Amino acid sequence: MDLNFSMIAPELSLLAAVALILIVDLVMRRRAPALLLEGAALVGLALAFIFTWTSWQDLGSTAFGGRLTSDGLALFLRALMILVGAATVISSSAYLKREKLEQAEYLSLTLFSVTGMMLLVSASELITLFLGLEILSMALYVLAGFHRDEARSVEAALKYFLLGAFASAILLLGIALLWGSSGTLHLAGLREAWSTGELLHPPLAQAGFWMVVVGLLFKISLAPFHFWAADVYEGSPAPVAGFMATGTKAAAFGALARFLILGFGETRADWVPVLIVLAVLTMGVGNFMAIAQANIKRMLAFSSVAHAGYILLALVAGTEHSLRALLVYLAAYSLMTLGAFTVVSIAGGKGEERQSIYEYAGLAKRDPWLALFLAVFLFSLAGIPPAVGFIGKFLIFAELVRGGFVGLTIVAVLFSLVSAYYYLRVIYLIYMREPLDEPAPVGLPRGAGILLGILLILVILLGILPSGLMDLASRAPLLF
Amino acid sequence: MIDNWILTWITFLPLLGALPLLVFSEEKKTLIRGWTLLVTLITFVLSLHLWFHFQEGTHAFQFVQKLPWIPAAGIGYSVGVDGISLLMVLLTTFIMPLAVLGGWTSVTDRVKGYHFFLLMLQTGMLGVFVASDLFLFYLFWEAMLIPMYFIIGIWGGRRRIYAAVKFFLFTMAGSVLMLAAILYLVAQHHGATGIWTFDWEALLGTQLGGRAEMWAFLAFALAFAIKVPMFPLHTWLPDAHVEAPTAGSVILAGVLLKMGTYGFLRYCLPFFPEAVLQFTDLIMTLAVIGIIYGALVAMVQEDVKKLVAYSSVSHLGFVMLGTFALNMQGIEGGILQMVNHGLSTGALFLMVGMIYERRHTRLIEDFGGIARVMPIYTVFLMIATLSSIGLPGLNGFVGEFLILIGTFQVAPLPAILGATGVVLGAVYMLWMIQRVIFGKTDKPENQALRDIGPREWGLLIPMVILMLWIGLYPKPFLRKMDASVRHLIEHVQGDELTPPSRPLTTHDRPAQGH
Repeated sequence: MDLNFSMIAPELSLLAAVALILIVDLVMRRRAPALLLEGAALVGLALAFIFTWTSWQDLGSTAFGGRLTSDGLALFLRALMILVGAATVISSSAYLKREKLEQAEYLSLTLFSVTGMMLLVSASELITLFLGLEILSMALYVLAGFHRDEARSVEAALKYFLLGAFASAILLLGIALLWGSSGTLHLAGLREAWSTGELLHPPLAQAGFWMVVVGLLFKISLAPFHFWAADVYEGSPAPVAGFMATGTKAAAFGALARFLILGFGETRADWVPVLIVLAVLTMGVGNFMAIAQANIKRMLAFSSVAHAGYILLALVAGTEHSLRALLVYLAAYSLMTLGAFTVVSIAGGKGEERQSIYEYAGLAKRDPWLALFLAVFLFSLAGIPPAVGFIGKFLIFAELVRGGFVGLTIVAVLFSLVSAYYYLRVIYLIYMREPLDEPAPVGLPRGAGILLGILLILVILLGILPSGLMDLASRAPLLF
Repeated sequence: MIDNWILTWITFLPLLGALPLLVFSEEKKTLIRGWTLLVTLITFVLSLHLWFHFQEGTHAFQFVQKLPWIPAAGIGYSVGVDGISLLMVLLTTFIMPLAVLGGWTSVTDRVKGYHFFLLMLQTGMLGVFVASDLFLFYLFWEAMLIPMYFIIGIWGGRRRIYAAVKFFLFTMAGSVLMLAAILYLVAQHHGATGIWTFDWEALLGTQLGGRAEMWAFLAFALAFAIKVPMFPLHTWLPDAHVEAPTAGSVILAGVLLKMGTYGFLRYCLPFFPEAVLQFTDLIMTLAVIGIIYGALVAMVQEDVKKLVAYSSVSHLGFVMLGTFALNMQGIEGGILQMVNHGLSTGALFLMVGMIYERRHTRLIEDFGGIARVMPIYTVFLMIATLSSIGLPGLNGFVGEFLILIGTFQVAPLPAILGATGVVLGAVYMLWMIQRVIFGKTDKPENQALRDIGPREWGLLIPMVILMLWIGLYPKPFLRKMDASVRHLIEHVQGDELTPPSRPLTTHDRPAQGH
């Protein structure tokens, strides 16, 4: 068996960083300066990024006997996961300081979670996929409850854990059923077994297939498996919520895309109708429920549900460039969602007391920069050009029309009109309403300010010049 | 080459000029205003190059620039003007300095942001008119919503937030469906030729046919009809106009509404000729209803600004009527009327802003006998009013007359009904004038009103000059459109049943002997 350790060099460098952080923290008796720990985490992430970047050379290589694949999809998403992780480290810094929480554990859990995500998007065998999913989930269960003195945070962790464990169990049972009926857990093997019809118990195999899909859809928070999202995002620390909304979703989408296309591409006609129903349901639930939310984190949670619906459409389209659209959308969505949650974590103030959108009234006068950042990210989420959110939507709709799903496109564009309503509401509160009370400006921590600046520039720049991003993403179709 | 880059410069200069504003101190209000005025003036001067170097003999795009942009998605940066968009570009660059001047004293809060958004808006509007790639066009079309949303929502009147959100959502409702239709059109073209492109000229020959063409036409038409706005999609307009600050109203009336009618000419007519012929009756009917309904509602308004806003519904009805007459006189009259409406309604909004600044009311009943205290203002208001109602010798007459001639040739009834709109227009405008300007100066607040100052002279003089120019000698304007309009009509009519209209001779043009 070919182990090919060099392929998991990015994961290994993350684990090294984790070990380093924990040891330093131990040796220095919990008095290690935050900057040192964050520096270690960022160096680990930077190394991982470099290793990922250089492996564009040997695209398509595998490791651990074909359990991990390094194709365009995996590399693009691994790079994205690392960047999401780095953004989370930076955006959490000020939060942890403000809330007086431990840096070391938080950072190591974040890096563990990124490691899990990276394994998840590279796995081409189901046990490896499950391992990746569990590594990322376990770390996130703890992160959700990291503010352990806050009842909301603990409640979020418990809910996430109970429902997450349930979904993992379903996924695992699905894997068992697939193995029992086809004798293999490699996606390529499954594809062969299904196309030749050599299945022991076709109904059980079918059940296994759908159970795996449901397990992944839970992580993506697709309706009707989205019920945890609003509660968990609301209670978790805002940087963690941003991390969950982007990293977990993108990783699970990567796994789902690989599972469906690589493993079950031949039986597309079976699962596409179900995905259409789920996508429409998700866009509907996400967008209409977001209108009803007065809590900004819950609103962003439902907005992230709605976005999952649009992204799912890329898998429905099934055209030559639909994976490119999916990846560009995931990158765009990650940029603007991370940005929005970072603003929310700062604007919330100590203990994240200010979560009502009505408390954002007058933000433009108190904290003009925060207001500007949030407005741009929200316009981008609404899909208004020239922000990158528009490019994502545009590419997915284009592939959908090319795939012949014109009616579905019309439904999707109408839902994006609905979404404009609740994003605009926050924007007019920020800029056009007088504040209810007169809180002191919260200010902008330097690290978070730089991060938000970079995200803002990327959101606009990639909205105007998306070619580079699209070229990177278009290496993914090698997968087929 | 200057001719290749000129459109890009004109389009993006305002945005470029908006960036230094960010580092200006909020306190230096005059510097901010002056800088913005300078940027818009330079843009205007640059755009004059187009006027002087435009080749009249051809329908093709001129000053073309094509650069690769997102080749992987078949998208190019491609701009150009023809006889249809030339006047729109010039109208935009002409109105903008005046809009900046018009808000000189009335906008005092968050001055920096206001002027930033004005310049951003200008780039958006110019982009819509010069784009010859459907993606580029859509990008500008949507991006322009952001500055307008803020201009209405932050610097507007009492119900500004409602008006801003309504404006945004109405426009977006139309445009998202247009996006679906654009993609459908591109996909069909791809199916037929194997080329995935958003280029306007490449897509021109795409045959959709049948129901598909009908739906695609409706999706485009909905987006444009909301913008025009056509009855019954006009309800956002009075709200937006009344709540917007003066400059916002001037830009809305002067330029933004034209993006709707321009859209019909640039996209609906050439792309969906079959559907156009099919829907001509419906659109003409709605246009006539708009003309009469807008006029009747304008008549009963107590707020001058609202009155002018409803008069826009009526005037844009004329433009639609002329456009769907599908002959030289109709379409040329329509394009000219777009310019005319920008001038006369722009001037009216500016002048409403002037008395609002002095009296902080726009209600007709609060005025009366203004002529005695503000004689020069009265003269200008009379000229703008007469231009708006189409008095021969002023610009409004030429446009309306051409539209009615053009329409009468193909559809006498709408032309006759539309003509009643001219009469109604005279009624509501003159009645308003009578109540505001003439009569006794019986309100004490009105006794000591200041007549217009040098800045306001500077605002109105250019407008009046153009009103007279177009009114007395419209030929240079019409000549610029001829080739493009003729080509458009030939393209739409094709070998269809409708007989081609008489070629336009100089005799058909009114008011040339003056």
